[in-house]
Amino acid sequence: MISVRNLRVVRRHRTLLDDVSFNLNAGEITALIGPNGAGKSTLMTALVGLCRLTGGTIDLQGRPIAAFGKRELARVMAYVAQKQDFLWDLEVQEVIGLGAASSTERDLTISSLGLDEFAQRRIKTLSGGERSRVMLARALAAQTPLLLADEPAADLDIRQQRSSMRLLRNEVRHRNLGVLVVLHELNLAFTFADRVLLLHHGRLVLDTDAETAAHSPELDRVFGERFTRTTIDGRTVVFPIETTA
Amino acid sequence: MRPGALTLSLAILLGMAGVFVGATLGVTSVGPAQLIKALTSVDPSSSDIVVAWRLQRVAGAFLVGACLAIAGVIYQGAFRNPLAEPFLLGSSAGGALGAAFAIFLPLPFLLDASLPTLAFAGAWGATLLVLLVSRMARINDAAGMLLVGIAFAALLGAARSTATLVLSDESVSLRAMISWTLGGLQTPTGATLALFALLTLTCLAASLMLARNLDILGFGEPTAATMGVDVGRFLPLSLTVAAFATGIGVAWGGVLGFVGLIIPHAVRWWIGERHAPLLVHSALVAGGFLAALDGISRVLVAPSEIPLGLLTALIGAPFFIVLLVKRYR
Repeated sequence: MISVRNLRVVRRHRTLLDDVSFNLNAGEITALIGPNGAGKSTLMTALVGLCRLTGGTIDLQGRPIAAFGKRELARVMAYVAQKQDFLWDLEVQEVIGLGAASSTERDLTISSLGLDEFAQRRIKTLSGGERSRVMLARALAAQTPLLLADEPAADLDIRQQRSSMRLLRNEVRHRNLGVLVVLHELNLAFTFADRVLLLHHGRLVLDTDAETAAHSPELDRVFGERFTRTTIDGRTVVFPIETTA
Repeated sequence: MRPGALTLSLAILLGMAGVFVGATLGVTSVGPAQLIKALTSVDPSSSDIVVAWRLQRVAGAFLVGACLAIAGVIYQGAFRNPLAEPFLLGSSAGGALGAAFAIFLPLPFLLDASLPTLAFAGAWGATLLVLLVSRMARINDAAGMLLVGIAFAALLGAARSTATLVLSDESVSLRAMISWTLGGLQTPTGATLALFALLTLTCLAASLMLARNLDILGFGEPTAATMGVDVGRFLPLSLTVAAFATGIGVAWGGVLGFVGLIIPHAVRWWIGERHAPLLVHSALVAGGFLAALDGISRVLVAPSEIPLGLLTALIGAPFFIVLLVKRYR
């Protein structure tokens, strides 16, 4: 669905992304991981057309992304930004309704995310985690074939993190949704993603399936940690080894 | 309270109550029976004519209030600033400059329409200038456009003062100018009132078409852009509609500050912040508010009138200060 080739973004003589190439496919969750400052958010904003490219191309459904109008792009791709801004104190159902393809989709999404109890509450009365779930719901309700989410699990407790990722996985399976999600929690990526992209200093150093990524020594090198690996329910998860000096 | 049939009915009632208060108050107070008689009489007495004239003025006040509220809601949404005021883009200063020329150098071919026409042209032109300069400088963000507006407001205000000093004959025209800048409602005739009402309804319809995007803009410009809002195009479009509403309000109402701030805020507390119901409810309530205030301005120091702009400032400025304190505390 998305084809990124030799993407390069330079700002104020600083290279934020360099020679990044990958494909994003329908029907799978692709996790984008990497340390702080690796260029994950820059890559996400480039993909949604909010960042001027220094070089390279981004094609969406075979067309350059720059050729899409804002409205047309919004029909293909929904985006959950890292920073959420709520100037107007709307009700949760109003927020989700603004992104929803229809009122039926709005109500279905509210139910499927277990947001019924919040539906008539004002957004500013919710916690950070609850707001994150509302914005994920808003994006899902748009029923676009593609969803990009920048750290949607950041403010969530572990139960809500897993619940949100399960929901994404269900959407991927049931309606062939393509998902690119930035995750800081590595084991969420290895548990729920089909593919993992590892970004380091603006360069893509790993583009592989989740199992291979979990075993890759690149992980230890990029994060500067020694990880131990173990397999739970057929999925490999990693833990940093705490060494005593 | 959720906006719906009940809140809309209440807003209509508030609007009508404001018009009733405005129509009954004056040097000679009148009751509902006399109001109806004045409207329906085939052979009106002189007092009927006075009451009918007052009704037209109150109807004009209602429409001025509605226009200023519509403009206020749009400016606050487009600038993403609940403290934005219809006059921030320099529309007021432009309108006042237009009025200055109309008072000092009336255009003979426009006759009585000289002041509203030039005030409207000034308000409209000032906003167009702001949009043009913003576009030339490739300023697309709300804060940048606001700064351009403030700069033009200062420039046009200085131009009006200069025109007042140079062109004034130190008697009638200077008084008229001061009265207008303090908020002097024009009394539209029947045909003008119909045109005024049509223009107000057009503004309301246009603003309702902007409502969804104004809601979305509340999530921030990046999120709005990914939800299909072309912010670079939407901002000038919404500000044009707001300037149109301001222009109409300024043309018939003079410089009336804070109406577009007080009423939308009160209505936000009442029915929430979704723009479609906010626009409709604010227009109705602001109309009633200004109509009632116009009546009060006629009786407070009767037989003289207090300029309406002074009353809106006396109520609006403390309200604005309270909002500021609440926002930054």
